[in-house]
Amino acid sequence: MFLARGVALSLSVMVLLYASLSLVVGWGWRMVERRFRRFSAQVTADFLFGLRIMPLVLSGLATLVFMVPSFLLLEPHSIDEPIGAIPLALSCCGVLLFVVGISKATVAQVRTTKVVADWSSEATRAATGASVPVFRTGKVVPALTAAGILKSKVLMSDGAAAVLTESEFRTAIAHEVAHGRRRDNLKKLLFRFCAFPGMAGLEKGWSEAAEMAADDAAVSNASEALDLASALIKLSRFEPVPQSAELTTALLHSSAATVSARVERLIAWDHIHTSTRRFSTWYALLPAFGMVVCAALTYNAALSQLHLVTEWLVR
Amino acid sequence: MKRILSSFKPATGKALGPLEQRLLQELWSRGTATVRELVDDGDHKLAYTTVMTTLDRLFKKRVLNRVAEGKAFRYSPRLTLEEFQRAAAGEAILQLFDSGAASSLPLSYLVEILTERDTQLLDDLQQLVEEKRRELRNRDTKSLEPKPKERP
Repeated sequence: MFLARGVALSLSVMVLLYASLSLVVGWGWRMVERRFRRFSAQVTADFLFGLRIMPLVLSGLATLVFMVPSFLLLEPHSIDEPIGAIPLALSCCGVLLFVVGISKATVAQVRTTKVVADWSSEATRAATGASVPVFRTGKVVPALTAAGILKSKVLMSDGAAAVLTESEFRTAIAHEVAHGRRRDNLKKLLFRFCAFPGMAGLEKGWSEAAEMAADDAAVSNASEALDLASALIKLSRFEPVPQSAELTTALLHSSAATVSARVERLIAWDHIHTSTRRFSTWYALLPAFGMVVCAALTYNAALSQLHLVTEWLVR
Repeated sequence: MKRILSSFKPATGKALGPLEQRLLQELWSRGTATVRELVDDGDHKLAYTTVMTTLDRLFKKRVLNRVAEGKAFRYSPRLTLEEFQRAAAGEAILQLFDSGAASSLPLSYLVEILTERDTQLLDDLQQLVEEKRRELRNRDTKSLEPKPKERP
């Protein structure tokens, strides 16, 4: 009974924290994101990803660091209390959220594997010199796609290979390789796992920033930027663009407006490259260090306060 | 932009007049302003009272926010330009769908127009890329040319 009560209370606290943090993030992410626009696309994408998974990470950490020790140290083993209706309901919600998350992630992964296997069935490996394997297929597939959660590969349609010049092709492949290096498909899988209503806008924002970050990683000078811009324009003329699989990243994954914004950004590469502010990791490390110090100094008091709250929850 | 502004009806249902549109555009470019700032810095040569009445009307139409600053008000647009465009586009599309024709027809018109627009947009972007490429090539050629020797 002691163990069951501990699990139920821990799950309850985690669910309460997770739901409230998710609501705050879903409602307020735009306000914070505006401040990050002056930084590079990579910083913006990383920040949005961090914001998206923050509710899961923080609620999990808070449960492990505060809730579990508070229960184990301060709850008397001898008392045989019932679990209580509220913790029971909340822990059921927690289990449900976990099951939904796991099933959403599994379904997305199974569907993607199926679609990618179909696309790759008649594909042949192309000699490109890229750091990841590139496959070419005559099937109707998105022009260029990076697939794979941990080990990525690039799939390219014959049409794309035919219209792109050598330098355009090189930068387009570099764009997909950048997605693989940044583990963007794994991030998408994580989003499926911590699904929560009202997060679609934030995920779309991340997706657009991730495309721009991959553009930035793929080019190193103005000439390459123009090659990638040209590749984007040429491939946008393909009609209709087939829908890409859920857990893949395609060169033309985004809407026409975003493609246009990306092309304009690449044309102004010189200006953007010099005017973007660098982000020092100290900005993130200092508040994190401050939080750890605060938590360490108030740890005992926090444990007893939390225990009082959980007592109230049980009653 | 002008067309969007003149066809857009704010929450009160009344369309924006030409002067209201001009002042709203100026507020978007400035962020916030008082009546005095708009009268002194703007190139529209409008009387103080005209600007004050127009801004007050925009506030009543719930297009602007205002906060007291001394004896005057500081005005700012309630929506960003992007949010405004989205609202205007949504309203226009709803009007199109409510026009009574079969629902698939307006949709097909939209697809047709968007396809044409997309092609045009891609052509324009391609032209921009080519121009930038020429600019880069010229810059490279100039930097490779030997500098003329100075005469003693």
